[in-house]
Amino acid sequence: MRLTDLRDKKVRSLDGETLGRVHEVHCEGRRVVALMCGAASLIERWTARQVGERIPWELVKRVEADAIIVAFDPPSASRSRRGTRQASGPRSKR
Amino acid sequence: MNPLELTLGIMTAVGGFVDISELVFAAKAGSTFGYALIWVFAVGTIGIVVFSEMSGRVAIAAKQPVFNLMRHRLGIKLGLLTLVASVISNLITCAAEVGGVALILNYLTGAPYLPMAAAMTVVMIVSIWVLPFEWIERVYGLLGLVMLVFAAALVAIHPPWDKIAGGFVPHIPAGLSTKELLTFAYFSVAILSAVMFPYEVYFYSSGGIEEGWAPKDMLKNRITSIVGMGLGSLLAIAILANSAQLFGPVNVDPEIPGTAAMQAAIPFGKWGLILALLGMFFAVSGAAVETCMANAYSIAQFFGWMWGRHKKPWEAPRFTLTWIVLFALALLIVLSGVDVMTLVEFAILFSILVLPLTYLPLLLLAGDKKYMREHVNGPLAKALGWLYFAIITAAALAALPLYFLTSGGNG
Amino acid sequence: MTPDSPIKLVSELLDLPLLDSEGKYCGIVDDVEFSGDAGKILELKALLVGPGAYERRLPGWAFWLVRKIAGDRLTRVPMDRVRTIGAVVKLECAGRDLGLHRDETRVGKWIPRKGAL
Repeated sequence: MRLTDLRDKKVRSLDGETLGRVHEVHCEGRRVVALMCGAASLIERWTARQVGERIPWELVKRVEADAIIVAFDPPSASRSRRGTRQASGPRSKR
Repeated sequence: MNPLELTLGIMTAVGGFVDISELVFAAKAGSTFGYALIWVFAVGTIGIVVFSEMSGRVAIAAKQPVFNLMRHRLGIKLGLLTLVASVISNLITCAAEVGGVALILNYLTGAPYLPMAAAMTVVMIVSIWVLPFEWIERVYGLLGLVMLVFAAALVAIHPPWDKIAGGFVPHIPAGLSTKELLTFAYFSVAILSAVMFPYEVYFYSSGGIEEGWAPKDMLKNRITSIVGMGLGSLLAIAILANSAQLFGPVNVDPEIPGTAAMQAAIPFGKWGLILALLGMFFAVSGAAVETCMANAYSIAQFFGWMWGRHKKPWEAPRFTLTWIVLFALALLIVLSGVDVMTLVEFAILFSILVLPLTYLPLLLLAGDKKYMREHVNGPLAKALGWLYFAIITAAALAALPLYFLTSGGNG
Repeated sequence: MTPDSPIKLVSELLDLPLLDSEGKYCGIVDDVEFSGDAGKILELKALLVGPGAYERRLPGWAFWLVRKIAGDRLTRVPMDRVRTIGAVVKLECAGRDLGLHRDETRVGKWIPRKGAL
């Protein structure tokens, strides 16, 4: 698998809901720990802002040709502009 | 900071400021609108100073030239688009410079234009091959100081200094017809483009890496940008003012570079003409070398090749082959018979269209603490950078409509 | 930053230039290869360098053009050869040991080795 197989790919929950597109992959100790997904725009990359959902790699079920399927149900509250929402655990601001 | 090195750097920047586009548009601007476009030169100069200083600072702080980091920041698709656009723009500019050099040699020696273009291309290729980077910059830059004859000519013709001073104040001349207003706007855009050519920033930042600039050279970078380019701009303004005083009142339209050289012939006779042509020859040759190398730097840095003239040509083979091929392509464009003035117009147009793509990544990089650390853009650099980005974006949007509405500034 | 540090692969690794142990540029990080799969541990395996990596990053027609001009060579740089990641990726070894200077060497045969000061 390559980074380009993940990046810009649609992320869908098991229910089929589209959660966004992968715009960042987080690694620690050479292991992929999370995907960042959301409506990533060029401006966000240019300004290096962090916006969107953080999806731990453990919740990724499969990587298909056109989407990444995750076991993740996004909370109904609106997305924070500055912070990120974790798929599990307490909300944290970055 | 070594005062001799700093002085040489400033003098190199002065002698290397004027190229064929600035020469042509300064002369035409003066004969058409008198002193009214001086402020546009001043505005453009502040812009190129801001972005050159920024690019030098990025090179020092990140130890990388701008194009290396540009791909990382823009991504491959937009980065490739920027690369292709700037390569085309710089190639046309290089062809205009090569054609300009050949034209000037034709005036000086009477030798035919096309063979001179081929011969000078070979001479410039050999000069880049033989000379190390510092000497490439210094030889062309310092010899370009012969252009100071235009400044001397301005003093000698006793112009109305109050009107020249008034030209620095932003204004639009009163009583212009709609057509004349549009032509004024076109000249403003063209001058902005000529002064802020993208190749200048790429060459400057890569040159900083070539010369091994370190954080101790921050002040040198700032002084060279401000003083060197500021003084160089005064040379271009001298050409404009000469034209306003000598050509405007008698309705002479300096369509070709040879007419601009008459500015020094009128007060100083034959030797003034020879010095003016020699100054133009060195300045325009230097610009041809810079545009070609800037293109080669961009391509090599985008693809991660070895690059630089601080290495011997065989130590960076793909970079070497690239600048030789680019010079050959520029020569082919000239040999195709396209008029030099047409090439200048196209160079100006392409450049202004590419400018926003060129300067935005630089602005973002210089404002990114991750790369720049304590050398990140301060409030003044940030404010000026974004102001100029807005100006060049507006100019880029207006360029093509103005070109067609004014038939390339001919009214 | 070392390869073991927390790192964002898109904004802090992808498209960075590579510098080998001799201080020579030897390409750009054109893609990143993992070992593992979804539902398992996914680990950084290698950096991918070369125009062959553009296939998944450019539209088809653009990659066709790139392949015609530059070929589709792809070189793998194992992660354990990476020393640090910052404004550039610094390698622990010479680029030629990883086959990263093949094209430079090939083009170098056409460049005369004389005349430069």
